[in-house]
Amino acid sequence: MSGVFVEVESLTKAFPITAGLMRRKVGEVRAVDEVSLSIRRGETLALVGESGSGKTTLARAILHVEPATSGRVVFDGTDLAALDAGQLRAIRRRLQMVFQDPYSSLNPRMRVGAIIAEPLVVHGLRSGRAAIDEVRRLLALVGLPPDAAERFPHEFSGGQRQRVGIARALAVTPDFIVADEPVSALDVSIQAQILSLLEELRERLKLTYLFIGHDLAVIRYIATRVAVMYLGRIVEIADRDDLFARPRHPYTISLLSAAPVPDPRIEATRQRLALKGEIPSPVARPAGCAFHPRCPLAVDRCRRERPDLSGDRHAVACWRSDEAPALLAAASPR
Amino acid sequence: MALLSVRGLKTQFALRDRTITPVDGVDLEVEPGETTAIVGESGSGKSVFALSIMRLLPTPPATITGGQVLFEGRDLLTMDERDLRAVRGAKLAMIFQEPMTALNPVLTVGRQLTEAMERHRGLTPRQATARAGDLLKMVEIPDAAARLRAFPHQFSGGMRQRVMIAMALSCEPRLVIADEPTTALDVTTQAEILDLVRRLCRDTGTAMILITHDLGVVARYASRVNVMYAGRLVEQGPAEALYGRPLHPYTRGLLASVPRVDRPLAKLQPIKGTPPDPAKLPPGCAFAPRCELAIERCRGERPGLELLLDNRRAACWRATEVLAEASP
Ligand SMILES: Nc1ncnc2c1ncn2[C@@H]1O[C@H](COP(=O)(O)OP(=O)(O)OP(=O)(O)O)[C@@H](O)[C@H]1O
Ligand SMILES: Nc1ncnc2c1ncn2[C@@H]1O[C@H](COP(=O)(O)OP(=O)(O)OP(=O)(O)O)[C@@H](O)[C@H]1O
Ligand SMILES: [Mg+2]
Ligand SMILES: [Mg+2]
Repeated sequence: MSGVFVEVESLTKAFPITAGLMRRKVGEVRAVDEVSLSIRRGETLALVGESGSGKTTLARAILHVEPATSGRVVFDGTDLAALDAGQLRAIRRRLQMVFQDPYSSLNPRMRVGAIIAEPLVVHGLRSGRAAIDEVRRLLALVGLPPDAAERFPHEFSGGQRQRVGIARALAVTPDFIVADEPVSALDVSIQAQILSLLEELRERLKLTYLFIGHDLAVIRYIATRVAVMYLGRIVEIADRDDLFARPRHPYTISLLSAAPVPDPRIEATRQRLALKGEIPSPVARPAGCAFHPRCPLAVDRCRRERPDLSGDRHAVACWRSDEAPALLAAASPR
Repeated sequence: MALLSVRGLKTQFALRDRTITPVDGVDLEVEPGETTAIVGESGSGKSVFALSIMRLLPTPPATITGGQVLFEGRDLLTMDERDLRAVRGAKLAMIFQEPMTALNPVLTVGRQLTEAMERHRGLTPRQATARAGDLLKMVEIPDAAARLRAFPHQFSGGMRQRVMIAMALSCEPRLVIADEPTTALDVTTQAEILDLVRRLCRDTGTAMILITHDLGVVARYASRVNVMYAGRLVEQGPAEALYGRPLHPYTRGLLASVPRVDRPLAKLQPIKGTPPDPAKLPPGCAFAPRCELAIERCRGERPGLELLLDNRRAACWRATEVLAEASP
């Protein structure tokens, strides 16, 4: 159970900004900015943050789908950058991704059986009869009937399509799965089904998850540890219970206070911690702490000096985190 | 008198190979100044309901085949186009999920705001421009006066939503229908915008129908709740009572499906199965195939929305038993 499984060291991903006909480079966006974290075997690390904070870019850089600009990813003891194409392909089998949009991530012209079998064939794991048997086993694993193999994606509901996407990811017996907003597009009743399935599979197949989401209630349910991202950097990371009970970054507190609770009696007594302004574009990252223009606690130092993550099991990047409990108390139900 | 009184509203779509009834006999009342929510899953008919009230659905394929929509006592369904347009611009407004469906991409934001006010409130261009600047300030757009000359695409998603809200509220309508107004936005932006809409509606005494699939949003902003399933309302009541003791098994199921940040972690209890295909609705209660309490009667006979408690209705043959079992 314990032991570091994926080690991410100072990972940066910058996209060039180009202008004019010649696509001249005029600057760059640091979508992910020196992120370090480690994921332990068997845990579910959740990444939470607003749109554009760099969650998907970080996930893709970790999986080496798109190589990082700098930094390192060590997967189960192997530095991915040191591998040649063949070795990378072999290790890729163990790293799979489940996407937000079950509609666009499945080929509409392929039958579900063929969609699930494809990675088996590509990785040369099974073919013919054995592949068909394996597809049937996978369908059962994700709670779909055997005849689903003969049908096309459009014949399924969103939740069922998400099950197909999960079956496909599991086909090659991965041990690490990145799920990028896997339930965000689903209805609540269906969302609960998929969350329960992911949880059950993690236990049964001893999987490790990186789970990307923006719904804090969902994250609290599925995660064992949580990392909060803001403008390409991790601003707080802690064990799930600790983060929800004792958030130490003002941004985390504002996210928590913005999340509505399905209980009118509680909502009637809640105070929301309002933020100033909108999330800035990473192109125009504010100096010092990038959160300072919106932060209710910001002081001069925050405008000048960038805080790094500090702390061991509960790390936070904030000069003012000592003030967090008071801020939290002000935003909590009275 | 209720501000809006919808009675037996029924809307059908004639599709190529079949006819569906996405809204099938809905009754709903909205009192002046109150916020009532319609909550339901994707495809349950929330948007078709809203667009039917506004008479914004294209015919064909849509036809309103039954019911009344009494707004301040007058039936919108039988009103002629001219009167309807006057009501729609001035007294009844809509906020959409995607602001670009309401905003004209080739007109400046200022022009779009002033146009409605000149038409419906008889303001001079000068008065309208001054008021438009105030409106943008009211929806908290920085540098409002200068932003009047900008085009919609020059705003971020959240800012565009604010512009649309300014437009919808510019003539101080009596009722605004907000169809998933913040679903595409981040939680912090969502909270800011809904807080803003709530404040503005309170200031002007505007009533709101808030359409959403988010039970948390309903709990925070609505005083009454209508739960929709497969084109019908299955439960209706004051928010606190309904959340405290849901009467319909579907409402109970929904509440047991959402994880919460404020409670000890419990296993989720998902509702089994999926919502029905609107072209193949079962003969009895549409929820029966997914319902753990379903009995023979539920599969054969469709329950109507019945008053079961003070102010509370549910469409369920088993609701009285649920009630008896839940009370101490
Ligand atoms: N291929 C690319 N070229 C240029 N910029 C990019 C590219 N991909 C992402 N970005 C930028 O990087 C930043 C982070 O994007 P990313 O998609 O990782 O955010 P996210 O946290 O996943 O957001 P969401 O919640 O909307 O999915 C954004 O500002 C985005 O515009
Ligand atoms: N223009 C149309 N043509 C055909 N069918 C339609 C049309 N608009 C809606 N429907 C159907 O009517 C039913 C109700 O749709 P509606 O858009 O009202 O659902 P909703 O509750 O608003 O869902 P969501 O939460 O996804 O917005 C669905 O089955 C939908 O497929
Ligand atoms: Mg993303
Ligand atoms: Mg809708």
